[in-house]
Amino acid sequence: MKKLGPIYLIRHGETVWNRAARLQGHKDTPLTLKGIKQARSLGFALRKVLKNKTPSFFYSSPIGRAKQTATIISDIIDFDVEKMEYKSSLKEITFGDWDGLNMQEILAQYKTSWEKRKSDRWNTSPPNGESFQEAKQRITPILNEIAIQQDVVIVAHGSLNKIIRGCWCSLSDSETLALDEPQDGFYCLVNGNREYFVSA
Amino acid sequence: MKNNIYLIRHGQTTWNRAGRLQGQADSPLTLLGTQQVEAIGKKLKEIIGTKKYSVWSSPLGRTKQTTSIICDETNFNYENVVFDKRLVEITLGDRDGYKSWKALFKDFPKDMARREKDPWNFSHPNGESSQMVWERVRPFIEKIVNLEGIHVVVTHGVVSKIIRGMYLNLSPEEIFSLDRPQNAFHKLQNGKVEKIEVELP
Repeated sequence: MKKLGPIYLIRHGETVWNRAARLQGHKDTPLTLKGIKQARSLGFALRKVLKNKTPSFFYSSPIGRAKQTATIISDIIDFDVEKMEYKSSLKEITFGDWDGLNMQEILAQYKTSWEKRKSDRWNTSPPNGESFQEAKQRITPILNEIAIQQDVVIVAHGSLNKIIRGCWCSLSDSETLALDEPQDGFYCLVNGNREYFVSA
Repeated sequence: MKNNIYLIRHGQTTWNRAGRLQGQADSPLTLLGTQQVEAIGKKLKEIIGTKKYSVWSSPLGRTKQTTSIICDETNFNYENVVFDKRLVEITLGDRDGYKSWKALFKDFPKDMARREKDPWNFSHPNGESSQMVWERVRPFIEKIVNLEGIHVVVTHGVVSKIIRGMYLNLSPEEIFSLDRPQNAFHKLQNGKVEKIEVELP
């Protein structure tokens, strides 16, 4: 994959279910007040990194919490929200039957499938959900397109952003799984298979 | 019995800003929209203090976003919000999401002429009339006004006007002329409606 960058890769702010430690996947809850403030801080940090320049492209996952975050950021960096592109391939990994559940509920109802997935998180999907491997496959075509664009903003999700960073930095599956999912800063993906963290 | 309703419209959305018609379609709050809601939440907290209250909300995206901020500003647990479908905005049916009012007049002159004759009973194709909204909202309001205590209701422009109209026994013409601010909310108490303005940072 040819990679130019920079890509500013941002996760949505804290949601009601993030706070309650529930998996969201393709389900959705709105940002909390903290999440709104994080989105604003992310916007201001991005504006600083962009040095008031407008990005060439702004992509967002079409899921509510990502759109909400992307809208706040676009207002702060003066990017016309009408030009934002919502890509369904940027949706979070779906955890299928686990979407919306917390750990206690998953262990109570899906102990066997949880244990099974734990032994190989990369290749095993939750019941009716997606594996990391499957998500990587769906994200690869769009990532190939985006990788040769410059000054791109992406607002997406915790697990999905890890996969994007893993692809960009050519990490192994286990290294990708071990990446963090911050909401108080974003990653800047740059030429040479590198990334750096920008704190918000 | 003491009853007291705080009626809140969602904050500014990207489509509000662009002049696009929403109806039951949806767009997210703008930066300004989040600031409006924060200010409303702070003011509400000031007024309610430590008293107990209930929160009722429309389940559309922009009202959920608004309700989440209001809950956090007033220390109300979002899990205890009651989402009630009767509070969703009037739908313009096939015209939900249409680019502007002006465009409606230009592109659908016959519909708009029909609206001119009887605005209260007019509906866009597959949409709702104000009368239909009145009828779906009425049982909700009748329930709420007969519940003791403080009730925070988060809803939409047209629905807010209809709720106030119902509360004050206004005519359709009077209801159409009501405002639907996003930098203020309304207090409904003892048969009166008071507008409470907020200051933005």
